Amino acid sequence: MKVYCLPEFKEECDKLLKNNSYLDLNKEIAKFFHGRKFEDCLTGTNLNQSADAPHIKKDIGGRGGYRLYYVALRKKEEIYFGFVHPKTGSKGSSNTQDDFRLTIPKKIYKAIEQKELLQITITEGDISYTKPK
Amino acid sequence: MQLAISNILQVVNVTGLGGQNIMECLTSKQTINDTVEVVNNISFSEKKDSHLSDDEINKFLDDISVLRTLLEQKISAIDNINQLLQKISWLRDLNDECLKLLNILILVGKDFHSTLTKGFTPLDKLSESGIAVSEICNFKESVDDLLDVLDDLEMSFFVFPKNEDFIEINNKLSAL
Repeated sequence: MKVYCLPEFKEECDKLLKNNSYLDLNKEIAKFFHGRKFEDCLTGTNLNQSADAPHIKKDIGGRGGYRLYYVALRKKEEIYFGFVHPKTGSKGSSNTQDDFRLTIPKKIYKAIEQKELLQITITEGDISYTKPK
Repeated sequence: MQLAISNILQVVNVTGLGGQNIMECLTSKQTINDTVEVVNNISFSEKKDSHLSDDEINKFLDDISVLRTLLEQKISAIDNINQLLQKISWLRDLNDECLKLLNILILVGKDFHSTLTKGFTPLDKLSESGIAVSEICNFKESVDDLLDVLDDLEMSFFVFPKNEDFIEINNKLSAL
């Protein structure tokens, strides 16, 4: 299973990681995805009723953790992170706006087409980004 | 009381009991007796009340413990419902009958959410006083999650499918 993300996803993560309340963000992402089979990543809320390319909203990190939005391409077994936000703290929020949620798969599709994505390597307790060759 | 005793002592010091007339002596005795009664009553109440206070504190602590357990039970029930609703989001190609049923489910869920949020105000007051803070916070998060997933179901089954952009992007992503 390969994992990619929008460049703005990384920017958002970097911003959050500067805040002491969210230092565990990468760790929590890694905790959920590391060593997990593709099919086991298809949990949470399916926001578009799609079987082939579900847009998923998944809470990670337990209570007061984070909410991650990603698209999973079943045929390729690839996952594309679109957006993340904490549920609590100064940057915390509950649900995103309906219109905003619509833009996430759109941005992901555009980034796939224009090859603007970053590849994510997930290790046991961390994630790192590389520009795909 | 202090003034009354002081007056009595003054009379005793200056004139000696032998110098007092009987009326003065009786009045003084009455004043002291009255004072003794007042002090005695207050002292008794204090002993009695402080004894009761222990019981009250224990009852209060028991009540907090009951509240915590109750909130944890509610959180567990709401989380369970949230997971069931999330599973429904993975259903596809629902016919009208199923959509009708889903619509009822969303309405019932929103009514449940509304009932739950009515309990927020007294819980906020308790939380502000430092009582069951973590349980109240978790409870509110679960209740918020309930509304989120109900909104998601409504949007993905009833609103977004009418949106051309939504359909187009879904088709494009599915074709990859």
